[in-house]
Amino acid sequence: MKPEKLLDNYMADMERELRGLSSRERREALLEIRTHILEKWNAGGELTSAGMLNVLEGFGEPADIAREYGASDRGPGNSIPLWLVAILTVFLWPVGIILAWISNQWRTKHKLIATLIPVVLIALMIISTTVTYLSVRNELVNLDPTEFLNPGLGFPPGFPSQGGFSPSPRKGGLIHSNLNAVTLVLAGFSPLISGVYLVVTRKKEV
Amino acid sequence: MHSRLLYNKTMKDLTQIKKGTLEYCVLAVLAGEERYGYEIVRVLEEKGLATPEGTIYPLLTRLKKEGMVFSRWVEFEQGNPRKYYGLTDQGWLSLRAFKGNWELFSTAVTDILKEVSF
Repeated sequence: MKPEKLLDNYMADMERELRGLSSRERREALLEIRTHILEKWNAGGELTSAGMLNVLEGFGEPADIAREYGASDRGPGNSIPLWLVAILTVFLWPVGIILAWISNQWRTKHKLIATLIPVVLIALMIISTTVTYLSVRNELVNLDPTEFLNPGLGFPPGFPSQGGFSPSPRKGGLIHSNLNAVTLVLAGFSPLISGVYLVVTRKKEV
Repeated sequence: MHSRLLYNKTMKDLTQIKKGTLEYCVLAVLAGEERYGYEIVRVLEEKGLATPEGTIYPLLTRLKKEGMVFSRWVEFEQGNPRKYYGLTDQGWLSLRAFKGNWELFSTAVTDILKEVSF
């Protein structure tokens, strides 16, 4: 492989590993690193692929260097213990997730996902219940209005326990209620899922 | 403890000490003049303090975030621009505090080790 190609591959690895940095920090770091490697390669006098490999090896593994960058942002956020963030996220979600955002133990991507998990699951639950409600109401409206005690509402009081109307079991209704149950459970457990996600995705540091 | 494990532990402890002092060595290297990354590594190497080169950049980034150093890009007619680093006032203060304490500490450790003979 040509030296230029070796360097390009290495820099591509580095860019991928440094994705946790802000785009400006990453751009500057990559430029700095590339200049360093080229200068050392030129100074070494051995302008070959072997020379380039030596320089790259001496520079270090991109993953190790990226870890140093990660470990380097020692802010006050790192002092918040993981167990506290996790427990608060599970039992007192808003407080826990705010602590997670303050902390720098997570990448922004993971913070965002942990925040979105309950939001999306609860939204799904709301959508699912609304769809069920609307479709049940439509079915009822389309039925013979004389069967209802109060046709104006389109929904019989005490439905479905009161007599006079016994819906035949419909497949759609069953799917709806199952879906509702699933989304309800998921929404209920969403703080737990969010908390577990945070525990799993914490930055691994020295 | 198995001797190899013991050796590993000793090396690990030494690495920690090196890691802790490296940032002050970098500050010291910057005390005389502004330098860029490759130059800093070279000076450290000349003094016998070899480090995995790539780690100098995360370290410089952290020192900058902590307000110990400043940096500026310098353009050249030939070649890539270089990022030069220099000491801030806070960096000077920190380096001075470290120097005083390190002298006391290293003298004490050297004295204590002197008593030991194998």
